[in-house]
Amino acid sequence: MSEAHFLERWHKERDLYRAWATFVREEIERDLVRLQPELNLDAFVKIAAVPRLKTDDSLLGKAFYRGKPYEDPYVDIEDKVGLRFVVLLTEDIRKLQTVIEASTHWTWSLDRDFEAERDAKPLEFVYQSKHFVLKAKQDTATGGVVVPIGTPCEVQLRTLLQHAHSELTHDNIYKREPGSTVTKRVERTVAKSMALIEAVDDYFVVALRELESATEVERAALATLTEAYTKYVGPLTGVDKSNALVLHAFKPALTADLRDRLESFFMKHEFVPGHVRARAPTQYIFRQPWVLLAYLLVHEAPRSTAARWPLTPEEIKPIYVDLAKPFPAR
Amino acid sequence: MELMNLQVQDVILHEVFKRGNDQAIVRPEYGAETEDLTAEALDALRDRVVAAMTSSTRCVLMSITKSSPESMVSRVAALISGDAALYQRESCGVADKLADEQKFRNIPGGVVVIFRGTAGAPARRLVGIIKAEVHNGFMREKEQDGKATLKFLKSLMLTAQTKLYKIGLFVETAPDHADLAQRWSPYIYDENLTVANRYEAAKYFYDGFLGLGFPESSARQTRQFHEHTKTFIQSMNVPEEEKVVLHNALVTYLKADQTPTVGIASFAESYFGDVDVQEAYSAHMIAQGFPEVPVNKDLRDLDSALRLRRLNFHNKVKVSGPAAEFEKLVKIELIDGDPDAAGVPSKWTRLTIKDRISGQD
Repeated sequence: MSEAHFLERWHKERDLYRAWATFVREEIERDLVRLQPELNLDAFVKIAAVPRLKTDDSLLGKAFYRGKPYEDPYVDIEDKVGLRFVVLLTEDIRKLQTVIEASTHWTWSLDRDFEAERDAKPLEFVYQSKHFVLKAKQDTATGGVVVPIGTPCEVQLRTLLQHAHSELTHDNIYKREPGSTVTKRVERTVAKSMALIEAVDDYFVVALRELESATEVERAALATLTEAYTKYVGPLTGVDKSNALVLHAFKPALTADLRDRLESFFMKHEFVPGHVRARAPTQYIFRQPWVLLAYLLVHEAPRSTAARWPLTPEEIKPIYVDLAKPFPAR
Repeated sequence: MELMNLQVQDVILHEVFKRGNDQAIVRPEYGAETEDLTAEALDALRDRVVAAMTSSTRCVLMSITKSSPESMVSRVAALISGDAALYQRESCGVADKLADEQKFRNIPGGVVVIFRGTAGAPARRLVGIIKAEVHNGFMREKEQDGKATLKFLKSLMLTAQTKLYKIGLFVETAPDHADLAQRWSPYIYDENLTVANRYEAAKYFYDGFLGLGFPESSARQTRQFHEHTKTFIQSMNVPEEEKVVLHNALVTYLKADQTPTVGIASFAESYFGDVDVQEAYSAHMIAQGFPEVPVNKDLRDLDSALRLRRLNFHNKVKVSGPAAEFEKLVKIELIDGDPDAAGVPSKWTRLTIKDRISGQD
């Protein structure tokens, strides 16, 4: 196959590859959320996964000039289109991996697996990433085209730190250009930074665990409130930071019987969900799950609730009016 | 009073003027129809009403003393279910009545705001009558060229400044009762209500205008307030000296304080610093059946209890003295006494009575 032929085919099929990569991304993201409904995708994926097509020059270089023994370079080069998911922790990568391996839309192969490489060479600290190649299992209609069976897409999974390391060393070590020399000292430094990255990942996980256990009460309460909001008021549009502030301020009140207290409160105060619903479109506090806790606490302990209220009085005053409780002067 | 989920409808305004130089009634200016208020404005009005009616000292349950066809409660009964025309007409009658009852030129004019609605669960119908004095203020306004200017507003009313309005609220607590005086529970809010002037300056509003008086049960409820509060103080987990201070405070609150009412919130906020104690006190009083709304302070049943302050000791010693000045006459301290068998000092009380003995039995 000549370079001209190669490029001619590539230019004809580029859009199919882009469509396939877009399909893969959407499937992965959808399955992630299905697996873990409370996951905030924008926060989970640190750098947006955008389908990236190889440039003509880099394709031709790889196909014809790097001395790689391809039989059919067009088919054999499987990273003509790529996606990269960058996440915070190695355990986030495992979540992505689970989703990728479970999909029925493609066959997968793991072309680079840093975990396997670490196991095989425990004394080395080198470039780490997971590279999957996902090939369409059947002809797949998407985005107005039909992607033929077998169309490949490379998917790289990295942590932020792995990504930083990779960016630093990109063309210097990993893709060693013929003739480029990197001194032993630089290689040693790069290896040290890789070792550090692995250690930092471990610390991140430990820190996260500790954070999670420290805020377990609040998180459980938030889940209860979110559920109650959906049940009594309607769909939630978003949960912002004010929830953490409010829940933290009333931590002692977030006892195991919170759900029962909410239930019996709403049984006796049937008008409250209607008030919340009516104000939600124009007042953001009525769109937050904590607003239900605020009603419950103003009902149970109006004085101490005002005294411990972490936001401004204006935000909680309408609740005092609804429940006809005196708003204590500060 | 259960004002939870207060709904306010059919707000109508009439302006009432103070008497003319010859003491003659100036005819009110009537509003032709109910106001079309935004949700935000209605929320503000609900806020004013709830803030007033949950006031810790100036809101009080009254009893209906006048129920003739010309009385306010009769008008309230007509207002609650009248159609738009009747509602407007009856509300004008309310304005006329106020103009009539403001017999002296020192009583300022103002705007009478009348509304009807519901509150509580199950919902009870209610009629509210507000006399709002008009005051003035400034507002910042942007001109067309973007320049900010101060605009003078001459007819501000119902701002958060609670001194400038009075409210009468009739809640239909017994809808099936034939006797209007029993069917409706009347509450008033009046910042001018103090012990000194409750039978004078404030009287035209609740008595002449609204046809209300202080309930007969006031004396009994005031006594109950004293008893239940005493029980709570005694049960508190604090040193005895602190209880002595609180008992003295209770006497002061009842005898010396000029507020015309006694109530859970006002005592709690004045004398218990800790909000959790306030909450516990409030729960105790409500559990004992004391109303959440303050009650008219009436000391008739408490005279003897408040005249003498008594201290009883476990060893049968009793000390008593004039309650009003007890704090000044006697100094009380808790001291360490002789150690018990285990070597822990027992607790004794040292009384310093600031005078000589005048006689003995």
